[in-house]
Amino acid sequence: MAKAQEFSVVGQRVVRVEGYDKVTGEARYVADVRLPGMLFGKILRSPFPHARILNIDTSKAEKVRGVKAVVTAEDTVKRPWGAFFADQYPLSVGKVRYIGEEVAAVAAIDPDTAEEALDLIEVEYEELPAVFDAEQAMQEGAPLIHDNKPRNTAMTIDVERGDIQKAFTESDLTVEDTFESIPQWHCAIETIGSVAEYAPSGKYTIYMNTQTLFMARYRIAAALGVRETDVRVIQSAVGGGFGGKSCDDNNAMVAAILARKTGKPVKTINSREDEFLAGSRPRVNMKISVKMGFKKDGKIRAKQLRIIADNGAYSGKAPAITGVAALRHDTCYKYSDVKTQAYLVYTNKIPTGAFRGFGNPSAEWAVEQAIDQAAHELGIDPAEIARVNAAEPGYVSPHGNRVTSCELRQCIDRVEKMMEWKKKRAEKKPRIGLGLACTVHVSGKRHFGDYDGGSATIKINEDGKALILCGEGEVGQGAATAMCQIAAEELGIPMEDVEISQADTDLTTFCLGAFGSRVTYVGGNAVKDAATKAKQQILAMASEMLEARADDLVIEHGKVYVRGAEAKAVTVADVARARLFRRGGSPIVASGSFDADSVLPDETRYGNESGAYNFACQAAEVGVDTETGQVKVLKYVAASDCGTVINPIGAEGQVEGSVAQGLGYALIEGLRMEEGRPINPNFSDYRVPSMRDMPDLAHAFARSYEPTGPFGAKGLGELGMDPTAAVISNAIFDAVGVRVKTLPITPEKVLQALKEKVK
Amino acid sequence: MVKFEYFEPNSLEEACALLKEHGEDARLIAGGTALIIMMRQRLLNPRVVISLADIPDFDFIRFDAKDGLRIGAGARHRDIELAPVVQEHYPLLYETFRKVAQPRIRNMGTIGGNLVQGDPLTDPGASLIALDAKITLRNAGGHRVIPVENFFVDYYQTDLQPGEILTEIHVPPSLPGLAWAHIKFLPRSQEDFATVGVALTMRLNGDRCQDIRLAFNSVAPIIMRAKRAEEILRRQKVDDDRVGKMAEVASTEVDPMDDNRGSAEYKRELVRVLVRRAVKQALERSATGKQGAKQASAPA
Repeated sequence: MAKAQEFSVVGQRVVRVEGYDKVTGEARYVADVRLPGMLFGKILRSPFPHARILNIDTSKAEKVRGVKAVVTAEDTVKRPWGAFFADQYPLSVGKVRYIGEEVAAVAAIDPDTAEEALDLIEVEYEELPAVFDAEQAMQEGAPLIHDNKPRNTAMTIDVERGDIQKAFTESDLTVEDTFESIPQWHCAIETIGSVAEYAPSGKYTIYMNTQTLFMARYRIAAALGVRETDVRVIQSAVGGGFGGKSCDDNNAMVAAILARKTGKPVKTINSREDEFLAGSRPRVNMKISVKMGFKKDGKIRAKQLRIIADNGAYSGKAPAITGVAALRHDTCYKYSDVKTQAYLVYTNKIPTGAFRGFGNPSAEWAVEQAIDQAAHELGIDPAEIARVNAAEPGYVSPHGNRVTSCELRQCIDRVEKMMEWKKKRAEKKPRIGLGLACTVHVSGKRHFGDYDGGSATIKINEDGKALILCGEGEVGQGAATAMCQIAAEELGIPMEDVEISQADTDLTTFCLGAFGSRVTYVGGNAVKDAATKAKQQILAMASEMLEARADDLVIEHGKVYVRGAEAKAVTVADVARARLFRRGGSPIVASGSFDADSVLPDETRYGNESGAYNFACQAAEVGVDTETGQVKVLKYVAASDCGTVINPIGAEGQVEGSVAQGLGYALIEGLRMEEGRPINPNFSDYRVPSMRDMPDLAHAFARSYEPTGPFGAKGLGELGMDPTAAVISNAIFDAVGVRVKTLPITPEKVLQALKEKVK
Repeated sequence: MVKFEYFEPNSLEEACALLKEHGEDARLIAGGTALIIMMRQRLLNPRVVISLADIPDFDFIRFDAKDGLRIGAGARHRDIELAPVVQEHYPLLYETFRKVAQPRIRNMGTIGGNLVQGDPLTDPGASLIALDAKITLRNAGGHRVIPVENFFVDYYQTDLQPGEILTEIHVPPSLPGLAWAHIKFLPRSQEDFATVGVALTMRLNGDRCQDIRLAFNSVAPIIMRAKRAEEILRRQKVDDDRVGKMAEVASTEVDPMDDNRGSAEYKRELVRVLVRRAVKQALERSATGKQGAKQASAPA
């Protein structure tokens, strides 16, 4: 097993490659993109949750001075699009299905003029009965949101492995409960935005802050009714994605439609309210009934889930997310008998979708509380019940997920130590409690066709510097830095001699993009492959120059020399020049690719969804004010198994950010709606934890090496927020003996639960 | 944002004249932390915006032992928080202003702008009421002085009359040994508005309460003084029973709304709890004789 100490660049605390640009304000975000003649687009949104559009009169809006175009569905091909189910249009066709849906749009010489024109678009609606609750929407006779989806059911999962009835019969203890999660917003510091240009030759160029360029291109092309290469997507600097910028919304489509109609570049940037109404798709809220059977020693014998997931008005990523909630956690602990039923249901609300954790946080909010409950009822330390069930290398989940590296037990041990778990448990104080939970996440997910790969090209320039061309993109998570480290390590050149290009669908090869904690693992492997091949070209040329066999050559710190004879060396720059500037010369350039050794799940959802699985354990110590219900997180600890840590600074940031979002999910966040209308679509009413709200947080990374990862690395980006809500709830239970079963755990709910307990 | 005309007068006289000229069409802007948001959301669409940025000496903070503290309406929250005379003589104000929003807002927003907005969720008003502060309102023809506690009329409505500019806040001389407490209950985020805000001052003579002023924000359409609750303790011996009764009365005197921070019922419950805690804090501070800002309590 290779160790981090054996590496020279991988594992070092390196500065972000794009850090200088960001701290100096040089970085070009989409809002900074200004093109000659550029217009500004604004979108008219539906005021009704469910209504038929009878007529749209744009004539008054068109007459406003400075307005260049007003578009409606009549300016589109009226072809539906969607990540898994094609069920939404760029501009409403015939009907609106949620408040905020895009009905029409204006391009004008400035944003205020565009906004003024929006007020003059006259839309005649016929209101239809609407349904806002997923369980009600499933009932016979509920208003039908999509004609071809009876009972508003977008998707059903019904899976049983083993013999669930027998397993419950053989259980010593059965725990059963129902938990509800909430739609949580990403609240990225930068909202979604696009600048689209249209050339009369038929090509769209779109600058956008997406986290998945090639998937955005595919969906935009579908919505516009053109071929993929008629759309060029260029990634601007991105101010945070968290799943919300994976192009499940219509911002870029509308910009493109306006650009085509006006023949001018058009910029559409979501206001914060746009973002809350119809921008990034909030986390899928679920109602989860969990029933679990345990043996006396704490071993899990049976697990049964029933999930009702709220899809909102259109599907986006929710089908895959519901699948994760239904099945993923069975890779965390060892057991064989499982039943899970899940229903993804349309409602007249903003479509839900991808958010860091992707179904895991909702499921774990329920399942990890059931396990904690069992620990208390069986008189077993919650850390111990996690340990006896923990997955280990070689474990194959009931659904076929094959675990290669796994250091979950090490994570539990580290958490116990960092928290002083045993000591604190022994010296239990009133109103102070400890809670713990574990998680598993993927490193890439095989669900877009039978492919979970990535690709990259590396060219070695004449000055010896390597340029990585990669379409995975950078969204602020540190992917570009990790890739540069991986390339530097493999090539044997210093980190400062590696650059990475902007992601651009015309210039970089196909990549799926940033989701599923995949970029370091999948993209990193592709970069490493490209670097290996470029290195072979360097060595072949150097072998001629040094008159030595390529096998005997070493590249270190940008110099190539014969092993054992360092004095006789040429630089990588010398090699690159020599290879190019000669008769028949050619640059050093190589493309690499990687596709994980995973298996596309079959129709029964049996497969192996990822090439590698990452694990974590987290714990919290909380204090509960029993007079006000306020929960204070006194200390938080997180131990993560992400294989080799490529850049510790980046990894620590991922964990800290994840825990912050997890604490927000647990305690304060959540979209609140009345009759389909968000009542907290701003940062005054919708709060996220600030720096000052963060508790004392300690983190650790397990000593771990993933054999299939680049230099042993696995994914990390989502892991840290999966278990957090359950951790907090478990700690509250330990402190004061109550469980709040709906998120967020507000002080008011805690106080209410305490009163009910006294009764 | 709807287009508007913009003026930067160089004197209060000029500002008053502009206000008179443009009447209802005009809005004053100081820090802009509230007005700009409302204009962006098109909740307010003034045709004329008059900036107070160029009014000379509009952000003064002056202390005189006999006269007390005078603060120009243009003083920023952060100026007040950091002013040595405030930290030394008015620990309640220091405690209050250091909890207003976060430094980015405190560096922009002004005390005058805050008060005239009449937003019941904001902090300064309750503490100014607890300290019996007065404000000066000026128009083209003259000026008037009124207590802060009379200024708030209804939800986002104050006694500010058309043509008037709030120019100065006056806090009476600080009393040695004044017991005080400020609690900003912030269960969601330190940067949130208070779910409940309590400001309390008490003049004590041994175990008797000579005088008391109790004010709240975030629990009524206005920032309010709880006079009925005060009466329970005024000129009485301070004991658990009376404090409990005062808390009970306060919880009926407030008039909270359901919102994203909690239900009205929950806020009443919090008032009961937090009034008791405020008295406890004030008594502790008084008992230790440590009135200074350094002893400022952590948020509840």
